[in-house]
Amino acid sequence: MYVRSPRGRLHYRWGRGTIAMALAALTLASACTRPAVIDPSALSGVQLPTPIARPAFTLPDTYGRPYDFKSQTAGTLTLLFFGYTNCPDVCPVHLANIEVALKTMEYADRQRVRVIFVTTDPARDSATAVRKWLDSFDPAFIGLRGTEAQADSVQRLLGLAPAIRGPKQADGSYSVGHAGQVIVFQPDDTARVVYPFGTRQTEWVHDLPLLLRASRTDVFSSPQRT
Amino acid sequence: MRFIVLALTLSLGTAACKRHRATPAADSAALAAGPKVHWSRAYIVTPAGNTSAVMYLTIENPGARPDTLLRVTTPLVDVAMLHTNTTSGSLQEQHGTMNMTAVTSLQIPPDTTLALAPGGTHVMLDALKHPIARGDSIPVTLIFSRAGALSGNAAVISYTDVDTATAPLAAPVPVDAPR
Repeated sequence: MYVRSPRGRLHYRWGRGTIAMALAALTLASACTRPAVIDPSALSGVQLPTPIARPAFTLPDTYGRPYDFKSQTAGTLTLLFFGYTNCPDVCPVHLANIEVALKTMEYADRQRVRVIFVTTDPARDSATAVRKWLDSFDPAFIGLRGTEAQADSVQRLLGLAPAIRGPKQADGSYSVGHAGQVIVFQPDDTARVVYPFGTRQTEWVHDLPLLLRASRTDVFSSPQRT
Repeated sequence: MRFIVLALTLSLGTAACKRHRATPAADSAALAAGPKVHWSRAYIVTPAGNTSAVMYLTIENPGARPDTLLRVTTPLVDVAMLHTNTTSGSLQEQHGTMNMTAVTSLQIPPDTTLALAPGGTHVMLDALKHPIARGDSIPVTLIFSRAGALSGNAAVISYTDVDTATAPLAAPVPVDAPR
């Protein structure tokens, strides 16, 4: 409010109401410019003990073109998963649940997400077989098919145990033991959370928008959930 | 003398056999064992671009005696196998791997509901004899050591239905954990 000094000059005096309003305005302004702080326990995923930087590797995609993972997924929310098309439930259930969750996202958000599937069983998974299998979920899912050695080295890059091909059965079939979790690289090119098999559709729907937005290191600075 | 002993033995033997078979005493003994195993909520999932389908179901054993699932048959395939997922290592340390192993039979303990669910045990249907579509109903028979052959139907669903249709996603059996 304005007050008149004894000499007749107008001064502006900060009343309590004005101070309160100014503080509120500053708080709102700072909240708008800072990304939302996410409590890690609000996410369904498992926090990695050490975050992983987006790795550099190139593997052929299902169209036979070399796919440079680091540059082609940079700045996106990338869901990376290793599996094989003859996998009866872990792989297809994971991808089906992700497919459903992505369909609930707004168009603009969906364009910022990449789902990358790397086969650990190139002997049975031809590029065509991977493409056909992925298309049963979402044609936008990217399939990568390198040699067994290449798939193993990429898994090692990520700190995963390389897939184990089981003994051949009488009919020629075999199972492939592989890491069942989806690794999520956020738009700031860092993976902090992984999603094990068992993640429900509702959990993906809840977490994906949060992962897309919360991309600064300080948002995960609270004590880790075990 | 030998002939008399032989005759006595044979008559005693057959009499004993008769007693154990279809007399009222035997029936009440069966009833005392309690209700038998039954199964329900069977789902077959349409294959995702390959020719193998997986089946999930729930088995209830309300009785006081264990039973064993010996075999699964369906006109859909020649051979149906039982597979279990096992996990080893720690997911947090990124060393965990999930593996699938065939099992020849499944123990159903007394007073138990066993869910064959994603991530746990399932029935593997390889080389389908005809294509299946979501909404189909497929005849299935489960053969138990005690309860015998129990027939019913499985509903065909797609992988996107699995999350809500089947029992909650099972945790794989840790290989290092005590059973």
